[in-house]
Amino acid sequence: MKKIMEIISYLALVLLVVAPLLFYAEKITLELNKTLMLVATIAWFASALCWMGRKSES
Amino acid sequence: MTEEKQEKHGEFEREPVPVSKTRGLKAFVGMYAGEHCAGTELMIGPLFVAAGVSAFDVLGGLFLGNLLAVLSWMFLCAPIAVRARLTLYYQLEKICGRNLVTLYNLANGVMFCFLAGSMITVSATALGVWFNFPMPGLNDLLPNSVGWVLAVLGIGTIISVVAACGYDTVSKVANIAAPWMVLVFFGFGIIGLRQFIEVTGAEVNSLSSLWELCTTSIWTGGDPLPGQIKFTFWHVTFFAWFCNMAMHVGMSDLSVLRFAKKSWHGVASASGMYVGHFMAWLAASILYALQLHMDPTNTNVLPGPLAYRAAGVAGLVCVIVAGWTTANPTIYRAGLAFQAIMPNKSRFAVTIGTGLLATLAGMFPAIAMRLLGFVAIYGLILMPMGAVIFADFWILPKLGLKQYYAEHRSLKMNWAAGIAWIATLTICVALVLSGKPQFQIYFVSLPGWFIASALYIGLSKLQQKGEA
Repeated sequence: MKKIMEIISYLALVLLVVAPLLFYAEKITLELNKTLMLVATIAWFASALCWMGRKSES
Repeated sequence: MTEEKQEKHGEFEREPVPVSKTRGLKAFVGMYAGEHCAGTELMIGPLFVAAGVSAFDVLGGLFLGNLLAVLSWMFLCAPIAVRARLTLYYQLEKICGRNLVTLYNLANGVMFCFLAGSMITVSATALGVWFNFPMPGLNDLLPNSVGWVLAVLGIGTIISVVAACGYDTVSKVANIAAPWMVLVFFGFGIIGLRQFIEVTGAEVNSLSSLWELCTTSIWTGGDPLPGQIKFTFWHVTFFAWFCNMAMHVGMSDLSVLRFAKKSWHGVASASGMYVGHFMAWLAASILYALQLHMDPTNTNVLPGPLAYRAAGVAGLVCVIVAGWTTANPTIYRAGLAFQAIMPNKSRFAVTIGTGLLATLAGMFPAIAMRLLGFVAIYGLILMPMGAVIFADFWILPKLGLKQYYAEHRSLKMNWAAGIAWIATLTICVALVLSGKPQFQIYFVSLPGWFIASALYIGLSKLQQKGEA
């Protein structure tokens, strides 16, 4: 489970970089970019809380 | 105190950090990157544009200034930190005596309060987007609406209570938010650049065409906005070098780098400088330049609306989190500094009081809108004590003088250090008030460091005259 959460976290970070780059390349609209960044934000915090906090505790 | 107990508290406050507790380079890279990607970066970048910087001046100045800052960490702060392995406060106490450290704590605490206030200001601009109340303009010094006061009060109160309860949770959230925040800042820059290309109709297909867009539309140079000082290459360089002066030249980071295995681990500060003070400042400045390009009358520096236009709700969350996660430890540190002065008061009460003081400061936009000048003053005030530590550690023994004089003579106040501090500040203020451009607040700390060192060495010689 922890491994899955870790993978989701990294994918969220990738999305956070890729969405603005796609907007820069005119492949997506600004509105879609904003939505993708919000999705990436939610995914990052939801998944990272499951493993990053515990890692630092240990 | 046993080592186990100390470890539980996470600090070796009055003894050197044992080698077994030192950490590798990686620990410091992450810490510096997170710490220097803060809410205030969203103010500083736009304020450069308001100061009329040109593309070469901002890019070249930031590159050089950040390099000088990293070198200051590596060659001024870290070598002492890994040799003495003491906190700043304990080292100062040994040199200056308890009473002078108390005065230093007071100055440090007040400056931390104002800094935290500006971070609360940044977070409150995000609430303005949601609740649509009037927000302060670039030249506003006083709060300009009830909504603004309530927003700052609300955010400041929450931050203060959390800081008073101990900031372990916030520290964890800050660690989790750091990589996300860095990438959102990166996104701000990329999105802003695309929007610039769209509104100018420029064709960017090479580095030279990108440079042309930068010079003609983004960082165009020319006159600053009304009420702002013109920033040149040297202003940007010195600002980037000295904005964290309290930490490197001023030696605050002795407390951090005493845990480093090697002194060259000070190079880890480059992650904070080139991510937070290069990429994030440039990204935020692009967003503000775009706002000015689209509506030259809209000179407001408001991170909330800037971030919302570029990245929507994710941008707003970034503004709130960036302000909150950095204001919290700042209030906590200010509370600790004040508590050292009032040891009988509980840490909770002192931190709440400190937080409310920061909240009050945050209501006045003067601090955030004049952040460039405030940060320079902050560095100047604490810098002379860094010079005292440097001279005490390296130069006094070579001259046959005693190090750690207050400890050696059980003094409550080492007047040589006290006079060096106050006289340096007096001379620097006089230089600034002379109105000569070479002695502007952004530059005066450089001669100030040499003045403080020379004064401390000379006065120590006088003080220790005739002693064996």
